[in-house]
Amino acid sequence: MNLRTALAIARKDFLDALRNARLLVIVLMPIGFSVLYGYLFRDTLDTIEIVLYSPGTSSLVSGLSELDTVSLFVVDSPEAVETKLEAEKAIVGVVLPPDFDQAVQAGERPTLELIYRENPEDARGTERLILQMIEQISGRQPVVDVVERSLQPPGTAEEAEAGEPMSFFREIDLQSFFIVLWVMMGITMNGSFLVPTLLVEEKDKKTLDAILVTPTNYLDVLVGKVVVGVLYCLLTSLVVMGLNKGLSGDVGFSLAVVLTASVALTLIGLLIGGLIDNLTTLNTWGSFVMLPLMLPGILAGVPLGTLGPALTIPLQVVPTYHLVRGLGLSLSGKGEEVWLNLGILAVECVILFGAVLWSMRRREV
Amino acid sequence: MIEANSLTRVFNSLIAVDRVSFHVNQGEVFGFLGHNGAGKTTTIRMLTGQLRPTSGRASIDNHDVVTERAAIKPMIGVVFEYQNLYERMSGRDNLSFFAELHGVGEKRVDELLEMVGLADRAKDKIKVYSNGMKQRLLVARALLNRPKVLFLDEPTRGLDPTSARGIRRTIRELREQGTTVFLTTHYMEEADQLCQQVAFLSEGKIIALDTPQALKLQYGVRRVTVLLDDQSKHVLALDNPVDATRMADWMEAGRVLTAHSQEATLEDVFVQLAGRELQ
Repeated sequence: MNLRTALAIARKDFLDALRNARLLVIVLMPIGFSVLYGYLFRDTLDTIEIVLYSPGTSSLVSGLSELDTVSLFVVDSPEAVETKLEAEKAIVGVVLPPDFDQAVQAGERPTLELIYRENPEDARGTERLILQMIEQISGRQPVVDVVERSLQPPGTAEEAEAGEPMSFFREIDLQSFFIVLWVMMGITMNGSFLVPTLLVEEKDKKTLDAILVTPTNYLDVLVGKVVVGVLYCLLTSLVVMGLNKGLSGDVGFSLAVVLTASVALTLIGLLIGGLIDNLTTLNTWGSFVMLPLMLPGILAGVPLGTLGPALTIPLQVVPTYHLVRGLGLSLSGKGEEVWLNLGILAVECVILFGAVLWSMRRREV
Repeated sequence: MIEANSLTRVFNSLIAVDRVSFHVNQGEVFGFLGHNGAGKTTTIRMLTGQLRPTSGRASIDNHDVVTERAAIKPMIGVVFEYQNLYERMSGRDNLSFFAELHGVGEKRVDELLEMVGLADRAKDKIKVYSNGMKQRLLVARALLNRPKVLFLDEPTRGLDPTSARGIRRTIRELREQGTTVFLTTHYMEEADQLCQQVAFLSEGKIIALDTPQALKLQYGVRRVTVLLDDQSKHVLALDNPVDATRMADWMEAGRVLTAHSQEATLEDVFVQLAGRELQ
């Protein structure tokens, strides 16, 4: 392989895509959607409704009420906390013990009770927020025992979990859910439309013939197209993540998942491009290809046990499944759980690379 | 420089090129003439390593076109039958991109833009170029690596006379510089002017191969156009005894006002051999 020629092809394609209005729309659409939804759901995404009971005076009450990102309801009994949660006025309840502030100052490990309505991730977010605030107020690392429980009566949640597994999307917060969705959309659209266009247009306009009579070979062309496809996928993903506070959680794992998924979906795009010879056919089939690529990503939120083996196995072959799970977990700070997703994506990249090279070389037979 | 031995290409059951053999010397312009679908482009695609022959073999400068493609690519230039340029890019950007693939510098790009008369339009997008300008740019692109062998597939088709003349002039200059040119064309007059050797291709087979002059002498019919004193015009075949007698009678009677000899054209030869006209 000649890296110089591969990079020349990548540079040419990168700039040429910017001059192509159709391709530009593909790149910008997921970014536009993420901005639009971010605006429409700004209240839901930016504020968390907390109902709090404090038997004594605590500076936590005034601290939380001053935060723009918190909508705080203060009630006069622990029962009122549950009543408020049942009425769906808040998503998390906090019950403080008497003399909470003094106990913190004395380093006595007071017990803080957190009650979540639906999503345990909401309780964890609130816990992080409260601990940060205590640290600010007391000026030292807080020593607090946190007891977390669901609003549902004890046993109900476990029974439900045993009989009906919880959706993956309930393990991540709404902000992360939207980021995962738009990143998946961006990478899939780039993979199923932009990337094949880069190759099919070369075949349709016969410019590929002109490239291949120079000292360039198929491998150089393939690497050049992969580089530009991955660059566009990363560009879309990073802009979406940047605009939506997605550079949080385990950032390294998030980027690793996005990168490997970008390579895999770019290679799928090139495989499509290698099998199709003209733009008309690509335009006809591009949308049909996008659906089966996106569907596993959406179904990644559904508990696997509920789908049956006939659907579960093919679902886990498609890279978007691992992109959604891997990125969702990384954004929620559970990066150490994504190694399997990363490994599967890497293996898929190797297999796809070989398949794409075969599909391109078959032209000369 | 170019050698083909029983070169054959079959697509499914269609024999596109059928046991074609020829030899092209260095610095020679070799004309490959035939109808649409005769197998000209398929032959070029095999010679330039874009398509594998079904059987037979071919070489360029003693390098096999199948097994030694990497050695052949730096020494060839190809002008395709279609105008395969990047329409959204400028003329200069098109050449610069291919210059990078060949590993040649921007200086060569400037030289070629100047040579094909596009230096002042180099920054314009290809989509605003005329057919003639695009064709000149394609020639420039094919010359970026100073090829030893240049393949030209219908380089003047659909061009205005000025652009066509410019491209013919370039071919002559290249021949003088020692470049071997493999030319396919529909235009017999063009082949006659430019080529040292021509091959007629019909249904994938070479039906005649020689110098244009030898082919015209071998297959052409010598004629003379006679204008008589009654203003009637007659075309007589010199090799026909009846026509020879008529001519002698008219001359004896002092009736001939003018007589012009007519050489056979390559087109006449092709029609005679292939049984139909070329265009």
